[in-house]
Amino acid sequence: MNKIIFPLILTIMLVITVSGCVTQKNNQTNKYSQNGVSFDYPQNWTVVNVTSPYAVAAVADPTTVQNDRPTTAVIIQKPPLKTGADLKLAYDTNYANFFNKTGYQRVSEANITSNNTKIFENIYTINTAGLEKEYQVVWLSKNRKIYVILCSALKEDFDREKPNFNLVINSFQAQ
Amino acid sequence: MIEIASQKEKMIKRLKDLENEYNQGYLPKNDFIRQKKYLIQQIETLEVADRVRILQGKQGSEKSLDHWSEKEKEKKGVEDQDEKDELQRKYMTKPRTMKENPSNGRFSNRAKIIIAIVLIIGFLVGTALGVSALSKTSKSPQVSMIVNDSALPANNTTNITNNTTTIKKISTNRTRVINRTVTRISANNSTTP
Repeated sequence: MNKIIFPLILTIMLVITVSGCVTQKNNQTNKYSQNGVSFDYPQNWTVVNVTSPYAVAAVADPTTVQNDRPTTAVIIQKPPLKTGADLKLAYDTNYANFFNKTGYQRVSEANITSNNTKIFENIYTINTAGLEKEYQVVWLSKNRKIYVILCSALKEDFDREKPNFNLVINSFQAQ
Repeated sequence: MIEIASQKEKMIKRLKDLENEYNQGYLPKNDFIRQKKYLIQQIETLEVADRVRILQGKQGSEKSLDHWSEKEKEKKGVEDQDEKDELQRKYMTKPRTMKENPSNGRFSNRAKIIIAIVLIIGFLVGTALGVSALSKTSKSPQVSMIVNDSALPANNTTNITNNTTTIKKISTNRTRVINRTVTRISANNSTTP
């Protein structure tokens, strides 16, 4: 009889505990809508100030602060598009010498077409001062304007944060 | 078979009567011998017939009528008992006891209490963890944070900024110089982004 009861009890406890922890994390989101862009981001993240060039919005996970800066963040940049240039040219030009720098290493590159919109994705790591971060950068063009979604996290946190990055990328809209 | 038995008894009785008559002197010797012989023959014939019946698997006639009536009663009694048993089997069920089938029984009181306690503990632990997770997320610092990561190379953006300032400076002076400067900048950008 004990052989049945104890595994049953353990299973029930596990289910109750896990359901108590998981539900909140997956379902609730916030909406960002400013500076001509809108997107959803996890509820436990916050909007942060950004000093990056051509940045129009940034959200970050405040629980990942190291050296006064959050390590998990998503930044939206809107670089100017030169006359006669298109998304591909801008993307290629940007990464022509990007990985020549010390500590920069390309992980993967992808060219995706979604809803007749071409998207370029570049994943790479940067190791500076012993801090290794992984970046997922999505380049897309809307209304003749280029938008770059830069998602970053510590290398060890990157896979765990991917659902949050995808939430921002998939809900991104340019107004 | 009852007929054989009764005839045999009659013959035996007649034989006894005959012997009595002869002993008392009422019957001559010759008649006695002849009649006795006849009766014995009859009795033997009846016995043979009875044995044949026994060999054929039928009841012999050597038992009395009482025996047969008792047999009938017994038979009826057995049939009645069978019928009774059949009815009992059909309509009466054995009461179940805990000892007979302990594996099918529900949990004992002790096990029920243990399960209830564990469920309550599980519920409380789950709720506490859920609440702690909620309070953790609501504790997000309100301090304004700054991020400065960029998908664009730092050199490229500086160049663009410098170029823009150059253009602005020149535009206040002469239009021709502007055109030349812009051409030079775009050439620079194409070689070093």
